[in-house]
Amino acid sequence: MEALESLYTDYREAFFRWAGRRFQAPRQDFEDAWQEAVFAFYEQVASRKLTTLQYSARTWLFAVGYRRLLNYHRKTRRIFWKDEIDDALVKDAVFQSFPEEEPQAEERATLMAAMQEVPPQCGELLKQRFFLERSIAEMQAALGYQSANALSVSLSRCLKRLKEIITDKQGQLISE
Amino acid sequence: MEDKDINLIERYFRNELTSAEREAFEQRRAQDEAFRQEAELHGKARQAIRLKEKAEIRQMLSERGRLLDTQKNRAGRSWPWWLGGGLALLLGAFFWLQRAGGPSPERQSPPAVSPQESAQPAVPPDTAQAPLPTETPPVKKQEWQPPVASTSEKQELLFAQYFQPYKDETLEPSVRGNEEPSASDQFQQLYWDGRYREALAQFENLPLVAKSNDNWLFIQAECLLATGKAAAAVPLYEAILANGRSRFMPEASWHLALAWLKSGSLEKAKRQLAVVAGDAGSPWRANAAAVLKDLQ
Repeated sequence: MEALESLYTDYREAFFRWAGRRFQAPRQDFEDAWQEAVFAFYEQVASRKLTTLQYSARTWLFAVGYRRLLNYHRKTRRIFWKDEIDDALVKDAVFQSFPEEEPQAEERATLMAAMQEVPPQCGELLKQRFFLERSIAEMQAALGYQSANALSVSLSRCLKRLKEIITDKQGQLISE
Repeated sequence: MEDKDINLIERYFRNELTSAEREAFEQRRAQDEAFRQEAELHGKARQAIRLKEKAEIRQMLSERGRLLDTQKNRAGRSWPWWLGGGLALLLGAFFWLQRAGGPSPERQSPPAVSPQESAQPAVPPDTAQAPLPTETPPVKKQEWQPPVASTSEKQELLFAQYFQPYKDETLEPSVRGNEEPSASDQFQQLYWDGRYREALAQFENLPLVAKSNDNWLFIQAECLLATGKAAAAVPLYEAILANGRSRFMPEASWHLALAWLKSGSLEKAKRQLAVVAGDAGSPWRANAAAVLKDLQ
């Protein structure tokens, strides 16, 4: 996490200045875009979807942050510049997948509340498997499980439990 | 749904299916309602896991961002907090001295003396120790003392002297953009503005994830203590200290002592003050030692 914090810190002001030249938007919007970009970078690297960079980390982060700002400021006045970020966005289709689609506010609240009800140990198993996308063998080594079978059974139970909670919460919403 | 189906769905979400497998998956999803529902639920479970992780990371980054902004702005501030505090102390000392040392009637006859003592002429402090004539019987002269407060009054006074809801740069709300401020933002803003009662009401609107977060619970405890609900604040501070997950640990420890003091549990307050005074890493160590000394 220290590496993530220092990545966030090192280019933050530069991103704000860069974005400020392109969008007439409040600073908080730049902050949100920057955090989204840093989180996307973390997610991609942690799940090993991003293993090599064709560009510098700065260009990657700026491009993703820029796309986030574009999504939120389609109608605001923009000042057009052209630099290496625009080149990267034009050349590389990978940036088209950012930012990832988010559920609507109500559903987001339901899903967050569901995760709160999952016991911490289950939460860790689910995170390792479905967010960090670790294999059972990797998880077994990282979490110190004696048998892969026991780990699979625990993981399966945790996933089932999470799905039950989500279903319950959605049922409650409908009945309200 | 069987495990192999769940695995198939998971591989779909991971983008690991071959084009033939993907085609078969899409076909089955269109025809098999139970399979479609399971795939949808699986997607939601993945989203829930991701959202939780994202919320935690973004909270960490937000705190970092606030700190960076404050560090950047600090140089421009002309009235640092310690200067304001120092000035307030100086003013307080000046007025106290005016009351105690000036030629006011209160000084001539302090109110908190026994009838026997009050029958004797009052002696100004600077003359109380003047040598007495030898023929005068040795009468022990009473030095003038400021009014003595009762134990509970003293506790109240110490509390008022030392308690201040904790605020630092990381708690300063940042300026929001076009988006509606979240319930947490509003809670933080009310706290920052010193509107503690309203902040307490707003706390109830926070999402569950925030309500169980020790950092937000610390702010709730601060609001309770600031509005005189010390007894309600105590269990919150205790839980925060027991969990050991908050970034306000030294503050929670110090304010737990003050909460005990305010709620009249003197022995518990002393014990907690001793803990804080003995904690070499606590920025409140000197304050705790001073209160402890006053109480003893």
